Amino acid sequence: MRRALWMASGVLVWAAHFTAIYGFTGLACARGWTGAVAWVVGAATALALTACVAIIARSWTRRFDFLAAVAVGLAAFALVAVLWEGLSITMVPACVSR
Amino acid sequence: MNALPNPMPRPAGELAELERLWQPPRGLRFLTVVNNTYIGVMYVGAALLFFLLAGVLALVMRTQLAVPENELVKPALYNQLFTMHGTVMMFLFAVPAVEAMGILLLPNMLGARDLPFPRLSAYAFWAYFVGGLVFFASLFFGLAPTGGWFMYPPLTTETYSPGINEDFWLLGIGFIEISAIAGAVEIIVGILRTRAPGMTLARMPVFAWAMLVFALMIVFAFPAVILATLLLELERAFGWPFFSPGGGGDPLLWQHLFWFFGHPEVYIIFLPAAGMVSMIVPAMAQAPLACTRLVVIALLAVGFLSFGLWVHHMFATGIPRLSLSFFQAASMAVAIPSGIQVFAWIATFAKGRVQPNTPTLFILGFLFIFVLGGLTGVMVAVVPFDWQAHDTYFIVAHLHYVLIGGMVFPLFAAFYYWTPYVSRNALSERAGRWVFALMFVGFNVAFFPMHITGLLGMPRRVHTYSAAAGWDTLNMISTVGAFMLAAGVLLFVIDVARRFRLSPESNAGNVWHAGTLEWLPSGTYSTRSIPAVESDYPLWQQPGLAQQVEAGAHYLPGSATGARDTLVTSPFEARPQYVQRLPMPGWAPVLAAWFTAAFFLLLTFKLVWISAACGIVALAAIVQWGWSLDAAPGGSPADIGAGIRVPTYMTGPRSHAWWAMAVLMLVAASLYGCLAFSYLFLWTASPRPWPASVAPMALPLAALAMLVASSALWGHARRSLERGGGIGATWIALPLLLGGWAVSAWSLRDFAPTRDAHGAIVHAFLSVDGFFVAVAITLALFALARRMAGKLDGARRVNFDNARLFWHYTVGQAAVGLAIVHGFPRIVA
Repeated sequence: MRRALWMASGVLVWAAHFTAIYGFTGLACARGWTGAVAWVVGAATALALTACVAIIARSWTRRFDFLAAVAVGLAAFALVAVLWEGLSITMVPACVSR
Repeated sequence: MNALPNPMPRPAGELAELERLWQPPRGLRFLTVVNNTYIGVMYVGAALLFFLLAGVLALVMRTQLAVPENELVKPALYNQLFTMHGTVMMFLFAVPAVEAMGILLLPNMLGARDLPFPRLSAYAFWAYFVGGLVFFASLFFGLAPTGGWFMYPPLTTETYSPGINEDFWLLGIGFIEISAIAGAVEIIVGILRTRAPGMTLARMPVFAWAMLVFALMIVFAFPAVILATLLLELERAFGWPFFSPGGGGDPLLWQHLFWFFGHPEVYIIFLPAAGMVSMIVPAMAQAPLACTRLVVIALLAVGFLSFGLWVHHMFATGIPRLSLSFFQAASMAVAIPSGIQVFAWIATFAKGRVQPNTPTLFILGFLFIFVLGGLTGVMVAVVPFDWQAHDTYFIVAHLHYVLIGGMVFPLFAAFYYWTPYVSRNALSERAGRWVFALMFVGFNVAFFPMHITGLLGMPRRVHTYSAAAGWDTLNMISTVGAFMLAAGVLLFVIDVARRFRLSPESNAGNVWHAGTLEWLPSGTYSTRSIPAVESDYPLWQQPGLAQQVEAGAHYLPGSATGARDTLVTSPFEARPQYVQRLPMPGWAPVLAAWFTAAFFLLLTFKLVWISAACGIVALAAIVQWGWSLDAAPGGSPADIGAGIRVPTYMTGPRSHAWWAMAVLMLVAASLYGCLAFSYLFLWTASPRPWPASVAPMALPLAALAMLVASSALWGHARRSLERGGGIGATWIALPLLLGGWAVSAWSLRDFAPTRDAHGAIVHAFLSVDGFFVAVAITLALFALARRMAGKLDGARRVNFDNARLFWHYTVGQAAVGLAIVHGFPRIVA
C-alpha cells in the first residue's frame, strides 16, 4: 500500500492542488473574498510545485527501478499540470464570469 | 535456463482431470457457463449487437438530415433517436465492449486459469444483456428517453418531461452501471492478484495496465452518475428539490455530477483501446513496444488527470473565468501523456518490420483519426473557441473523431487480431481490407464535413434545418459517408458469420507470432501449466516456453484441490501465495441477474407488485449464491512446483475476497464523497442561508455513540472467534446500528425532504446511510446463520471477516455523514 501511494504521490499532489484551487475559488467567489484568490492559489501552487520537485529528487537515484521510474514520471506530469493551472492567476481576473 | 518447476513426464490422468473440471456445461445448462473465454465472447457479441442497433438509429437520423426540411422523422421521435443513439453507444456498447475484452483476454494474458470471481462476470454479463435489451426495446413503444444522453435538468424534471421515458433512462442506466462496477471489481482483483509467478508489475503487459487504470476509473467515476441518477429520480418521483431552483436546488449540480463521471468516461473507453493498440503494434511490427515504461506512466497520468477536466463540458454555464482556466489548463496537460503514447506506437512501427495486414490498417486508421480528434479537442479546450463552437456540429465531429477513432478502430483491429485466440479460423484478410477501406473512407466522408457544418452554425440535435441555411450539401455528403461506414460494418458482420467459429480449446493459435502469454497453447482450462515469467515478451524471450507449458512442466499443471482452481500471487512481485478454489457453473448468478433486471425495469412501469416479486426471486438467488461461497478449507497445502507449497485456503487481508470488499468500499466512499460535494455545492448555490443548526448536539452524539459501540462489539466478536469462542456479540450490535440510524433520522424531523434543497440533501445522506445499514445487517445475519449451520469457525471465516469490514465501513461513513449534516452548519455559523 505504501509503495503504491509513493508511486502515485505526484499525481496525488496534483489532485490535492486541483481540488484546493478549484474549491477555494468557488467558495471565495460565492462569499466575496475576491482579493484572497490570487494569493491562496499562488501559495498552493508554490507548495505543490515544491512537493513535485521533492518527489522527483527523492526517486531520481533509483529511477532505473520500475516503481521509482513511475514515481518520477507521474510527478513530472503533475509538475507540468500544476504549473499550467497555477499560471492562470497571472492572466485571468478572479470571480469574473464573462 | 533454470530447471523447470515440475518434473516430466506428468502423471497420466492429470490433463484429463483438468479437461473434465473446466468443461463448459452442455445443452440448456450452457446458459450457466462461467469460463472467462465463453462469457467474454458472449459479452463482446452483445456489445457488438448494441453497436449495430445504435448504428441503425444513426442511419435513420442521417437519412432524416440528408435533405433540408425533411418530414421522414417527427421531432418527438428524433429526440428519442439521438438520446438512444448516444446512451446505447456509450453505456451499452463502448464500456461493456472494452470490459468484455478484459474478461476475455486478461486471465490468459496474465497466466491465470480464470478471473477470481467467474460467477460475478456471468452476473455482470446477464444483467447487462437482459437489462440492455429491454432498455432498447423502450424505443418501439415510444417510451425511450428524450433528454439527450446527458439528461440535463430542468428539461428532464417531472415538470418538463412528464411520463416514464426519462425514468427508463434513470433506472435502466443506473442498473447497467452496477454491472460495470461488478466487472471492475473482478478486473482489479484479477490483475493485481492472479498474475503468473514472476510477472512483476514491470513485466505486466500494457493492456493489463490499461485495464487496471480503466477499472479504477470506473470505481471512482461511476458512483458520481449513480448518485446523480438517484437524486434526479428522487426529485421526479417524490419531489425532493435537488435540481429545481424553485426549491433552492440548482440544475448545475446535475452537470457537475454527470461530467465528473462523463469526462473520465471518455478515457474509460479510450484507455483500454490504447492498451489493445499497445499489444497489437508490437506483434504487427515484430518488435517490443518502444518506451514501455513511459507508456505505462502515460496511462496512469491520463487516468488521474482525466478527473480534472469535467468542467470543460460546462464552459458556457457562467462559471467564473478563473475556474474555467484551471480546467482549460488541465485539458491541455492531458494532451501530453496521450501524445506520448501516439509517438511510442509510431516509434515501434518505425523500428520493426511492419506486416501490412488488417490489424495494422485499423491501427494506422486509428492514429490518423484519433490525432485529428485530439487536435480539435485541444481547440475546444480553449474557452473562447468553445463559446463559439459549443452545441454545434463541430462538437459532433470532434466527439466522433475521438470516440470512433480512439475506440472503434482499435476495437476492430482487436477483433481481427484476437479472433484466432478464440476461433478455429482467423477472419478473412481480403474482406478485412475492404472493411477497413469502407469504414475509414466512410467515416471521414461522414464526419469531416461536420466540422464545417458546425462552424457555419448548425446546432446539434435539431431534427431538420432550413434550405436557406446553406447546410444541405454538407449534410448530404455526411449521409453518404455514414452509409459507407455502415457498409463496412455490414461486411465485417458477414465475415464474422462466415469465419468465426467459437472454440477456445482448438483455436487457430498464434498466427501473428506475438510474444505475450494469451498466445500460449490453451484449452478451456486456459494453459496446461502456469508459466514462470522471466521477461516482458515470454514467447519471444523464453525459447521453448510454449512446449514446456503445454507439457505441464510449469506451475500447477493439474488441479491442486480437486476442483477448478488458480494461483494467487502477490500484487507487486507476483510471488505465489495460495491456490484459490474457483466455483463451478450454476443457475444462481444467471437467475439473480435476470430478475434484478426485471425488478428495475418493471419498477419503471410502476408495476410495483410484480417488480417486488422479481426482486424477491433475485434476492433468493443471491442468498443461495452467497451460501455456497466460502467452501470448507481443503486440507493440506498444495505443491505447485519448484518446491513451493502454498495453502489452499486464505482469509484476511491477503485473500481475494478481502480485496474485492476493499474495492467495493472505494466505490462506496466515492459515492459518499460525491454526496458531500453535492451538499457543499447546494450550500454555496443556495439563495437563502441554511439553518445554523439541525438538531441539539446531543442527538448526533448519541447516534455516534451507538454506532461506535456496535463496531466495538464486532471487534470483540473477532477476538472471541480467534480464541475459539462464538460471535454472539454481533447480536447486540444489530439493534445498536439500527438505533444509531433511527436517532439520526429522528434528528432530521424538522426538515422535510420536500421542503427545500437542504431538507432534500440531508435526507439523501440518511437514505444512503440507511441502505448501507440494511446491507450491513443482512451480512451480519448471514454470518450468524452460517455460524449456527456450522459453516463458520476460527479457520473458515471469510464471511465473517468481510461482514466485519463492511460493518466498520458503514459506521465510519455514517460518522462522516453526521459530522457534515450536524457539524458543518455549526462551524460556518
